[in-house]
This record gives sequence, structure tokens and C-alpha cells, in this order.
Amino acid sequence: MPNFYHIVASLLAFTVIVQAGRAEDSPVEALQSMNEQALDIVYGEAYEAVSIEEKQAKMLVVMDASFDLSVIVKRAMGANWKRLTEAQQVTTVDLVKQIAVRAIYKALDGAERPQFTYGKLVQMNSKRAELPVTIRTGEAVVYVDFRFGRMRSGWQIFDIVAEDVSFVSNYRQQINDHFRRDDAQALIEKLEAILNNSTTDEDIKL
Amino acid sequence: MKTLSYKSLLGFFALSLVGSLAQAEEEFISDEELFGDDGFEESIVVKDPLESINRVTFKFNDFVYENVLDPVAAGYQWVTPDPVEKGARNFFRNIRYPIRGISNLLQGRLDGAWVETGRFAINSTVGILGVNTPADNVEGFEPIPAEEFGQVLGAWGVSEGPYIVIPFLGPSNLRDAVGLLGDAAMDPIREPISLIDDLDWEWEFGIGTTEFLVASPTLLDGYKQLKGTAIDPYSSVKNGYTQFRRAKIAE
Repeated sequence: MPNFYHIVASLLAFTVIVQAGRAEDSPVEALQSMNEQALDIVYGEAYEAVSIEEKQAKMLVVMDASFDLSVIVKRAMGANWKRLTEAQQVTTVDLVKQIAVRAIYKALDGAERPQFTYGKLVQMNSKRAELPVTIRTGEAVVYVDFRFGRMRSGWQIFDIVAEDVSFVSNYRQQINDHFRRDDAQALIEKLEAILNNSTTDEDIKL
Repeated sequence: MKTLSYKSLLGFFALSLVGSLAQAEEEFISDEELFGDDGFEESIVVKDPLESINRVTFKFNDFVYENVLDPVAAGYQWVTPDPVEKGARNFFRNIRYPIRGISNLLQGRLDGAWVETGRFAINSTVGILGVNTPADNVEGFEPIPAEEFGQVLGAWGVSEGPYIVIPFLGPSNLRDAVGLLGDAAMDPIREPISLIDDLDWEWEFGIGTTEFLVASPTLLDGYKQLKGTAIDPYSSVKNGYTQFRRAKIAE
């Protein structure tokens, strides 16, 4: 009965994998590794001759390899996500990722390398966890909570709360306010304007 | 017997597998949870009945920050050596001790009042009128979050009221705006308890301008960061301010 034994062995192996997957651990190592790799790109001697655009592209590769960043974008979009067509969803995620990388690079560039101190991962329930992180740059100290959600693809970043201000809540407010007055295409145009550093938003200029 | 045993074994694994998969599925975030409020990052509700007026004030403030405050702050930072800049910031923070001390007392935070009093005593003497902050290195007197009258009102249960944007000063709400009046009343530089004998408009203008200059680089940095990546800067500042204040009051 070789076939029977193969079937049993496969089932056993699959069961073990599923159980192991559920016990899979923590997102902390992935976050630490992502942060250090990103900082190395900004501050490392090996990258001194690399252009800003290339550095940002490399940071994006590191971030993409560590977490599925579309998850936090979907969290920020909330129910409005379904107002976007599939093509618009792809474009939105891509634009937000580029804006995020550029903003992170801009915040770090010229400043001394920040030191990250990781607290203890707090498991809120079986699907949610939170990691307090202290970021020191010179005398400045910023307290950040990284919040994670357990997706089928593994632990993903669900929110970043800096000094009590939640990224997801902040963007949900903006996006809800946007959709009260405008549509998905206008949202993409705004994101493109932010990325290109051009201010097309009539709201913010006299 | 042998056949039955194989079937039992197969059935056991199949059941175990189905059970594991079902349980595993429950332990993952569903789409509904992904897009909805699940009690962790809820959308907050900010009362904003004056939105149309607030947006105009926001535009005005933004224009002032970009075209007046930003160049002035940049000039101030350029001409002022870092230690002087830091010393000036420390001086103004130290002299406002009564606001922090009384606000702690009004909330029943005796520990906070004690720390603030100790810091004021150490920094005003050893730290030469508060220009330096030696208390940072004294055990038990390390810096604590600053309390003010808006937080006192929040701690007393006064609701925040509508969101408002104050010309020049920026985001606030009705409760915090009243809190600013309370802070002004406890301010040792200004009337009614001013330490300056003949506080006239020239003094007021001079002090106000200096304070403004000293605080502006830090405030502008935060503002620019929030605005730089915002889809709707007005909404972003409104939400950021409200989240921050609610967290401070809940502390």
C-alpha cells in the first residue's frame, strides 16, 4: 500500500505545517531587520556613492520583502477601498509606498542615525499584537507603537502610532473627508501631486 | 481489521486537518476586520460644525506659516547658536512652572506637582534662571509631560466641544481655547500675576515675539511633517490634534 502511506504521510506533514504556521511567531525580527537594513541604506558607507533615487528604491525593496505594505494602505482606506477599481487600488498602493519611502528618507537624511530600542511584544489577542519602540535621535525621543495583524500571509503591519497619533486613524479621517467631496481618481491625482512635490491642492494656498 | 485501521487512521488525519484549517482560518484577520473598526485603530469622530470657517482660517494660518513664520524661524535658527536656542527654550519653559504646577494640583496629581516644583527649584538656581536643566540628571526629578489648564478641564470631565482653528495659533477646540485663557491667567510673565512691574504693550510685544521665535522651529517642523504627506492637510491636522489631546487627557 505505498500510495496509502504516501497519503497519510502527506496529510501528517500538512497538518504539522498548518499547526506550525499557527504557532508562528512574532513579527519583531522582521521589523528589526527591515529597520536596520533601511538605516544601512541611508547611513551606510557602502551606499555613499548611491543616488537618492536608488537608495529610496532599495529601501522600498527591503520594505516589500519584509511586510505586505498593501495591508496598512487598506487599513487606512477602510471601507473606501472598495470604491476604487482594481487598477486604482494597485496605483494607490504603489503611490503610497513611494510617498512613505520618500518621507522616511527625508526625515532621516542629514540627521544622525537613530537608535531603536524594542520593547516587549504585547499579544492583544490571537490575531493582533503591539510592539512599543523608542526611537532616539540625539536628544530627541519619539515613542512609537507598531501594531500588527495576523493575515494568511503572516504578521503584517496594521498601524503605526507615533506619540499617540495613529497613522491609520489619521489617514482614514482624510480619506473619508476626501470621499465626501471627491472621487477615487481625484485621490490618485492628489497622491501623485504629493509624490511630485507639487501642490495642486487649492485648499492649502491662499 | 487491517482495512478498518487504515480507514480510521485516514479519517483521524482528515478530521484533524479540517479542524486545524478551520481553527487557523479563525485566527487570521478577515476582510471585514481589515476594512472596519475593530477596536484598535478606530476612526475617531471630531465635531466640526464650523468646518467652512475653520478651513478659511487654516488657509490663512498656512499662508502665514509658509510666508512669514518659516523664513523668520529659519533666520532665527541661522543667527542663533544651538546652545543659545536651547537655553532660550529652556528659560521660557522653566518660567512657566506655575501653569504646570497648578495644573497638576488641580488634577490631584501631587507627584507631578512635586516633580515640577523640584525641577523649577533646581533649574532656576543651579541651572541659572532655567537656561540649563540640571534637574534632568537628578533622580526623581527627570522631565515629565507638561500639564496645562486645557487638560485640567478635560480631567474634570468638560467635553472638548467643537473643533476650532484659532488665527495664528492653529488647531484647538472650545475646551482647549478656554484652557489657553486659564494658562494666560497663571502665566508669571503676563497679567494679572506678572513679575514685570510696568508691563506695557511694548513689553508684551517684545516677550510675545521672542516666545514665538523660540517656539517656532519645533512647531513648524511638526506642522511640515504632518502636512508634507497629507492628502487633506486640514483633516490631517484636525485628526492629529484631536488624537494627541485625547491621549494626553486619558493619561
